[in-house]
Amino acid sequence: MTIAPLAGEDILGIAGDLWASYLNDDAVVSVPGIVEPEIRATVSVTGGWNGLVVVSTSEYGARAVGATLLDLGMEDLTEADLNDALGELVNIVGGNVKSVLPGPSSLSLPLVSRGAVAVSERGAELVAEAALEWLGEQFEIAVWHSTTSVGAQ
Amino acid sequence: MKILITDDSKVMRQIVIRTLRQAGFDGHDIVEAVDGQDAFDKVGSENPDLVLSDWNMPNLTGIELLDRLRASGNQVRFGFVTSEGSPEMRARAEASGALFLIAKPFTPEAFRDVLDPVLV
Repeated sequence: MTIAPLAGEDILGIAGDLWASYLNDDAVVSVPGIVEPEIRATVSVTGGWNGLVVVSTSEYGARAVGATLLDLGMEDLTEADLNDALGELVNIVGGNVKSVLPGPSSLSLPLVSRGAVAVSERGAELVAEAALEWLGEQFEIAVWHSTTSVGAQ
Repeated sequence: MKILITDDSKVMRQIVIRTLRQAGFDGHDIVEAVDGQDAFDKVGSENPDLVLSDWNMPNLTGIELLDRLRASGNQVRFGFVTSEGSPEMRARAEASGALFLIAKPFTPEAFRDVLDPVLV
């Protein structure tokens, strides 16, 4: 039996520290998959362990993150600011996830995407996921492991 | 003192600046760099007393920046502020000459503990 290197509780621990440090208000634990996200930020991990870390939320949720991190009004937030903020969120989660997975490995720069994405599970398996609700918006964090031998694609 | 803050994320540079203030380190001159290459150029032009750098950046990573600085004979005090705080990363940082590695997410208390001996 293979024991997963990471569990949903681990992700919640990382997210809890992040929210407590930077996002002022407490987030509460939610259930993954109850809301279709509108925006996703992804980093890949390659090397001793290969996979993806994905943070997804609503447009409003991403805008709230950006406004809080930059101490701006939501109406003053540019598209670049929003992408930067959500990208940094997944960078922090991804870096912390990477630290507990087999290494050595490297972390990519974040990629932010919008719209509905059909996830093909060919060559990848879901390792762990967790969800938070913050300011009424759902935030989902998923860690995917590449099951091919050539690393995350 | 002059502090060079290096991160490709404007959001994170703002958080670092804010956290320095919250930790009681206001009153220092702050210079910002957007990646490792920009930071290398600004170390030369601005002569900072301390570099706070992200690790993972385009153009030149933080560890490449530090290695290039040391190879050029520049001994500026250098610390990492990064999401990757594993023992291996810390050892790699120390081997290249970094004074410390602060892991994200960080608190003002973490900044105070690490920077008190540095920002005297």
